[in-house]
Amino acid sequence: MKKYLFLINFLTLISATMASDIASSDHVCLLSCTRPLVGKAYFEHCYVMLTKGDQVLDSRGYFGDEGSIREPAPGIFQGKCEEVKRRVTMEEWQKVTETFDRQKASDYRATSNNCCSVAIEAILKALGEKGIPDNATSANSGIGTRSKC
Amino acid sequence: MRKFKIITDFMFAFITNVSASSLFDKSDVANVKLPSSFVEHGVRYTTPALQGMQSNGISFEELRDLVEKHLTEARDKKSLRCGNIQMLFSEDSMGSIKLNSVFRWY
Repeated sequence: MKKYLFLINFLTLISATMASDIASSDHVCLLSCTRPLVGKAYFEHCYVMLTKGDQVLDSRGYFGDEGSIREPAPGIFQGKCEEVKRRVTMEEWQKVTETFDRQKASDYRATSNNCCSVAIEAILKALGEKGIPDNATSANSGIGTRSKC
Repeated sequence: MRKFKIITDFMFAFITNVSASSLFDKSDVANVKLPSSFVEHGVRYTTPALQGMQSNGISFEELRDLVEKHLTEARDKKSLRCGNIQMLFSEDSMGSIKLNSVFRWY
């Protein structure tokens, strides 16, 4: 009987651990996203998001007339997103935001220093070459973004 | 006609020239028009941080109290977590501190 109770307790503990793992499987992710630019559907806008499960915790985009801002409507299902890294640390996200937040509105150049090139630069500084997202390098047919190394 | 212009000018100035502190005294932060970044008590509150504050339903008073209470820690670690509110800072070469991000952990 004692062995039976021990087994039950053991199984309960295992299942509780598994359940807690499932619940905590919402890792903090860094996503690189693109969406059609409002009013100019033939252009793509690049932005980055920090997410946990379905929740967008923070985001950054670079707009010519405003500098760095949070993506105005950062629904996770809006646009097409590519997972850049799972289990992102705050230090890494901080590096991403620092690159965005250094951008001035007056430095915006459609063909050289734009939303996609800044997204690439930010991820490069935070994660290195391996993190560079394909969707940002290929956005707008690669105009204004450098080729992936 | 001139009187009318004076009145309309005054109304326009009254509506648009609203200080940051008076804006953020309101509890309904989600509908408050955000100013661009500004400095208060030596801390620069950036546009993305203010946007994060607003979208997470945090009042400016609440945010400012948290920042000022933990300013030393903010300078040291550049990252503060108070309850479920996360704040990320940066410091420039002149020692000025900037609040870059505000969001809630869910």
